[in-house]
Amino acid sequence: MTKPHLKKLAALFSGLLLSGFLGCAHLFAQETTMLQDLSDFKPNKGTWHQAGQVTVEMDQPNSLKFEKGEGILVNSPTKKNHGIDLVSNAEFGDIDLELEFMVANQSNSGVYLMGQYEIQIMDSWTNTNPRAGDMGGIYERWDDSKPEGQKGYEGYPPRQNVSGAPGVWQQLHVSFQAPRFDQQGQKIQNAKFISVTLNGVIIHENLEVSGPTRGALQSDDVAVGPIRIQGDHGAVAFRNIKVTKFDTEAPKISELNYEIYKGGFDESPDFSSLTPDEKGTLPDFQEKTTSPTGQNLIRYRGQLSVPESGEYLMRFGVPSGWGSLIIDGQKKIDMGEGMAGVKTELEKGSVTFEILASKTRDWTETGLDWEISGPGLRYVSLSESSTGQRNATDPILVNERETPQLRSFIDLPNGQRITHALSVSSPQKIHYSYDLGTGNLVQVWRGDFLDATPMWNSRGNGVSIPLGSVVFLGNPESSLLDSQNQHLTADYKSKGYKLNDSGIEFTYGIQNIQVKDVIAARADGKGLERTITAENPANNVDFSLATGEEIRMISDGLYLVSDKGYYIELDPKTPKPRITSSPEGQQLLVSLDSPIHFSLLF
Amino acid sequence: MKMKTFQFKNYRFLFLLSFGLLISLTKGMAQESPMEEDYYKILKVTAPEGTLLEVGGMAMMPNGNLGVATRRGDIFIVENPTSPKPYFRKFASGLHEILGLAYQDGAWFCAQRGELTKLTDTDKDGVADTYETIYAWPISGHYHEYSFGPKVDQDGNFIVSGNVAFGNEEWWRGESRVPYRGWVMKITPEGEMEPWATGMRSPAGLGILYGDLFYTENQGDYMGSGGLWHLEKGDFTGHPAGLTWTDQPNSPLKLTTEQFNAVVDPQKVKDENGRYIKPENVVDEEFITLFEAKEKIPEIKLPAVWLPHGIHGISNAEPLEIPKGHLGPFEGQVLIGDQGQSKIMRVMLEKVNGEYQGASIDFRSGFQSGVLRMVWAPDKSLFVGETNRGWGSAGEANEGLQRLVWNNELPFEMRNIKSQPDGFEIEFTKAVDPKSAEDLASYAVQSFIYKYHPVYGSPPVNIEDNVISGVKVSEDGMKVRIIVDGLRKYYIHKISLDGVREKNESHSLVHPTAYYTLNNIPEGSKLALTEVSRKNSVKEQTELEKKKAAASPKSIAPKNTGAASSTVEKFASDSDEIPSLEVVNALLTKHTCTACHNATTKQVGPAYSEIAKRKYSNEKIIELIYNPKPENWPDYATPMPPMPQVPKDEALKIAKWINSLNK
Repeated sequence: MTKPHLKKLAALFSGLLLSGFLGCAHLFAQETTMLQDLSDFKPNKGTWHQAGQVTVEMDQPNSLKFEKGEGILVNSPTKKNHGIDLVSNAEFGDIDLELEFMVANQSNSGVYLMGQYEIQIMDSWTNTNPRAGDMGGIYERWDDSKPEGQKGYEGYPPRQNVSGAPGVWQQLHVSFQAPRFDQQGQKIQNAKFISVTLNGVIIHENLEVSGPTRGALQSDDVAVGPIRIQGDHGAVAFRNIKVTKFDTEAPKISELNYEIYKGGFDESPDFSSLTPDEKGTLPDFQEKTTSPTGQNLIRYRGQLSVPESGEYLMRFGVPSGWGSLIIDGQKKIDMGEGMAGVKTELEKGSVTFEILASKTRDWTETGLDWEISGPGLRYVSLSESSTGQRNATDPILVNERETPQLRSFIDLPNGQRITHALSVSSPQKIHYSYDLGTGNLVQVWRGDFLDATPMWNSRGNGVSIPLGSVVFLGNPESSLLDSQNQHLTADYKSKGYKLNDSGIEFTYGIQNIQVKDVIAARADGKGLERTITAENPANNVDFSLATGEEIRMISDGLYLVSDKGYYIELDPKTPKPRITSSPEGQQLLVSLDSPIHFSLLF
Repeated sequence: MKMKTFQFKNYRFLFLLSFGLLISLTKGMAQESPMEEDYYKILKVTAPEGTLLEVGGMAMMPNGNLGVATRRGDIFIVENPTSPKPYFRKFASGLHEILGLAYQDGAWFCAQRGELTKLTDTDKDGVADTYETIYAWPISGHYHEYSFGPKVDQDGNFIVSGNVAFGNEEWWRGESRVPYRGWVMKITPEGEMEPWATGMRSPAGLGILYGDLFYTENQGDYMGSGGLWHLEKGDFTGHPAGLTWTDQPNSPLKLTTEQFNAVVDPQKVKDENGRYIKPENVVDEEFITLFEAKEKIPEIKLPAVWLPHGIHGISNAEPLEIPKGHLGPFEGQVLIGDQGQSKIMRVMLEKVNGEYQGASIDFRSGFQSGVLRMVWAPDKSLFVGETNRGWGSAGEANEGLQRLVWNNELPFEMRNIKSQPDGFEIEFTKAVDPKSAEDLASYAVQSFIYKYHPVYGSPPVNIEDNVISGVKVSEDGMKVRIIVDGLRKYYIHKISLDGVREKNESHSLVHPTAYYTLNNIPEGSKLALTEVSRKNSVKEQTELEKKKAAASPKSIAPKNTGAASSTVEKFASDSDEIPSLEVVNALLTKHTCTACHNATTKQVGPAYSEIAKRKYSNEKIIELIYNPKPENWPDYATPMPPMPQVPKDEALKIAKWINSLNK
C-alpha cells in the first residue's frame, strides 16, 4: 500500500540527483533526461551494445550490423543469448517520451512506459491490417486464470500501420500520463496514453489502459516506474531517447471576480470612469455575459497559483472580439480571434492576473481560451471557449476504392504548394504524390490515403492532405540534369497520364526529350516500382534517382537515403548509378541513355 | 371563459367576412392566373443513393447519354437519363474541381483548376484510362482560382476562363497573380493557347450563342451587377486584375493597369496603422459608370444585358441558346441559370447598331440547389445541374441533377422585347385583352444604372421613372409598342406590364417585368401620337383605391408591386402598426430582399424569423439594411451588400414586420 508513495519519493530523489548531475544551469529549463548510454540503464550483461552506426541486412532475419561507438543502443541477440530487457535507472510518472528506433527484418521489441504498459515495436513493414501485437499496438493484457484462448484481453491496434522499412530510423513520440492514486494508495485514475505518434502520425489518442499489459514488471499499477525496452526477442536499435517529465501540479485559479461593462469596446477603457453593469465572484472561468446578443467587456481579476518558479508559456484568445492578459500588473498579450502566445517568468507562489475579454460582435460565441504550460507542466486549460466544438466539421476522407487517384493542391513540408499534383493510392497502402508541373515524384507515404476536408468542405481551398507517414523526397526543378549538374527545365510540358495495368504512365517533354515515367506499387508492398524511358535523350543527361543529406550504398544496387529513410533498389539491368554532391548534400544519378528501372523502398 | 369563447367566434366571423371580401376583390384582378410551375415541371433524375452530384459541368453524347462532371472531381456517364431508371457509370474520378465539361470526337474535355484535360477510354471498358493534358496554365494556389469550361467554338477550339485570386491583406480585391487569371483563353486541340479577352472576375458561365462567344459575370469588386457579355478578341469587361498581363507579347490588348487606374480610382487607401481600408459604397459620392469609363477606355465592353443583381440572379451561371421546338415559345432566345437564386432567367437578344443587347426576364425558379449548368436532353427537356456547397443558394439542397419539362401549354408571357427609336415593342405569346393593353396605366418603365468602382457591387443609381405617353396594340393583339419618354442610352430599363391581361381568360402575365439594357437606341421612324392610345386609367384607379381605403382601412392591398405603391403610403412611418404581409412582400420584392431571404427558412441569408430573434430595435434593423454586418452571421457564406437605396420609411416597415415575427 505504501509502495507507490515510496516510489514517488524515490523518483523525486532520483530526479533531484539527475538535475543536480546534469547541472541544469538554467533553473527554469524543462526537466528533460536523455537516455543515451548503457549506464543510464540497470546493469545489463545481455546483448545490448553502444554503437555509432547501425545497418540492417534487408533479407537477413533479425540481424543488425553495427560499429562500436556512441549514441546508439543496439540489441543484437544470438541463438545462444536471447538477451534481456533494458530498464532505466530513473523512474518516471507523467512524461513525454521521444525516441528513434530501427528494426531488423522480422524483429520484435517494445517500449514499456513505467515498465508496465507496452507499445509494440516490431517489423510490421507492409502489413495492411495491423493488430494490437503489431508495430505501434498497445499490447494486450493477460489473465492466466482464464481458459486457453481467453487469457489475452484488451490490447489496442494502431489506427493505421505507418511502419517504415527495416534499417531506417523511425520516430516514436509518446505523451503519457501515469495512473493516479489516493492517499490510501487506491488507484483513482487509469494510466493514459495522451497520444502516441509514430513517424509523424497519431496512432493512439487519449487511450486509457485499465492495467499493466502482458509481461509488465509488476502486476499492479504503480505511481512511478522506469523506461523499459524489450530486449529478449529481436535485433533493434534506439537513439535519441529523450524523457521530459511533467510532474508539476497544475496552476489553480482563486479569488476570481468579474465585472461586466455593456457596450462595444475596441480598446481598454479607463475603468475609473465606468460603473460595471454586473459584478460578482466565480469559482472558475465560465462564460459570462449580460445578454446573449449584446456587445460587452468582461474584466476578470484573480489569483493564479504558481507551483514552480520558471518560464511559463501561455496561449490566449478571445474568439468573438479582442482581449488582453495582464499578469502582475504587466500587460502580456493583446490579441484578437486567433490564439496568441507569450512566454513569461513566474516565481513560485501566487500572482495576480487581470483579463479583459471584449465581445465586439453581436450574436457570436462568447468565452475566452487560456492555456498554460511551464516547467514540468503540460498545457492545461484554465478557460475554454465553446468555439472549437461549434466550428467542428465532419472530415471528408478520400475513399481510395471510389477515387484511387486525386488531383489537388499539395502542401509540401518545405512550404511549397504544388498546384498540379496527382496523388495515387494502392491496395498495398503505399501512396504517392506526383508533381505534374515538374515531372517529379515528390512524396510517398504508407497508411491511409488522403484527407480532402480542406478541399471539399464548404468552398474549400483545393488542398488534400496525406493521412499516413510521409517521406518527402524533394521537388527540384526537374529530375533531369545535364553534364554540368544543372536541372533541365526549358519547354517543360506535361502530357498527362495513363492508367495502365502496370501502373500509371506519366508523360512529359523537356526540350526535345520525351520522358515516360511509369510508377506502380510493388505487389509485395515494400514500395514503388518506377521505370523511366526517354525518347531522343540528349547526350550526357542524367536522371536523379534520389537526393538527400547522405546516400549510402548498402550492397550492390541497393542505396539508402539515410536522412529521409528510404532505399533505392536498382534493377540489375539498369546501368550503375553514381553518388555525386548536390545542394542538399548528395544525389544518386544514373544515365538516361537506357531505360531506368528501380524500386523505392520505404 | 364563456365571454372569451364568444369573442373568439366573433373574430372568426370577421375573418370569414374579410376572406369573402378578398375573393370578390381579387377575382377581377386575375389572382388565379397560372404560375410558372403550371407550365414547367421540375423532375428528378434518379441516381444511386450516395452519389454526390455537385454538378460543375454537363454535356450530351450524340447517343443521348448525359455526361455529368462534379466539383468532387468525378465524371459520370448517365445512360437513359430521361427515363425513370437512368444508369450511372462512373467514367472518371479524382479530377481537380471540374467546373465544365464538353464531349468532342469521342473524348471528354474538362477544365480542372490548372489545366484543360482530355479524357479517353482507349481500352473500351467504359472507364477513362487516358488523362491527357491539352494545356496547363499556372495558378498560385488560391482557393478562388477556379477554372471554367471548355466550350467548343465553331472552329473546334476550346474556350476556358479563370477566376481571379484575392489579395492577402486586401482580401476583397481581385488580383491576377499568374497569367492568365481573370482572362478567357482560347486553346486549340493541339494545345496552343491564345489569350482572348480579359476583365473577368468570376466568369462561371461560358456559352456559345448564335455562334459567338458569350459569358456571364457575377457581382463583385468592379462589378456593379452580374450580366451577359458578348466577348470579342481583345475585349475588356471591367475587372482590372487581368490587365497585369497585357504586356505579354500575345496579349490582344495593351491597356495597362496604370492607364485604367487613372480613370477608375482603385481606392487603395490605408488607415493610420498602415493597413488597407476596404472600399465601401458611399451614398452621396461622385461616381463613374461603366459606360462613362468606356469613353476614356475604348477597350471596355459593356454587357449586352445587365442581369440586375438580386432580381435576375446573384451569381449568374451558364447561358444556353434555346433551339427550335424546345421548352415552349422562346426558341432562339437564351436561358441563364443562377446559382444563388436557384433559378433560370430568360434573355432576349437583338442586334442594334451591330451590337448585341436585350432584356432579361424570370423564367423558372424553385430548383433544389444552385443552378450552375444546363444542357438539352434529346427529348427537348432541359437537364439542370446544381450545387451550392460553400456558396449558399435559395434551393436548400447541397447538390442536384434535375430536369425541367414543358407540359406543352402556352404560358402568357412577353415573348420578345425590341428597342424602338421611341420606346419598346413587346411581343406576346398570346393575344392580349385590348382594353387592358391600350391603357397606359397597365405599363410602367423605370431606368437605372450601376456604379463602376472597386467596391463590392453597387446599388442601382440614377433611378428615374419614365413616362409612357402612348401605346399601339397590333391588330392581332400579339404585339404592343409603347412610347417611353426620356429613354436613356446605356441604362437598364425596367419594363413592367402589371396591368396587361390575356384576351380570353383575362390572365395576367406569368412574369410581368423585364429589364432591357439599352446600350444602343435604334434609328428609325417613331410612332405618331395620332396612331396610339393615350388612354390612362391611373387617375381613376387611384381615386377608386383611396375611396376603398377610406371605407375599410385594413382592406387587402392589390397583389402587384406596381399598383401597390399607393397602398403602401397608407402606413405612416410613425405608426406602430405592423404592415400587412402583402405590403411587405411587395417591398421585399421591390428591393430584392427576397433574392436572399425567406420569412422562415435559411437561404443565401438568414430567415427573417432568425433575424427577429435577435431583438434588434427597428432603428437598428434599418441601420443594418444600410450598413450590414456580415460578421454577425458567420455561418453564411455570402455577405449582404449595403442597400442604401431602400427609402427609410419602407425600411422601417420591413423592420417592423421582421420584428413582428418574433413570437
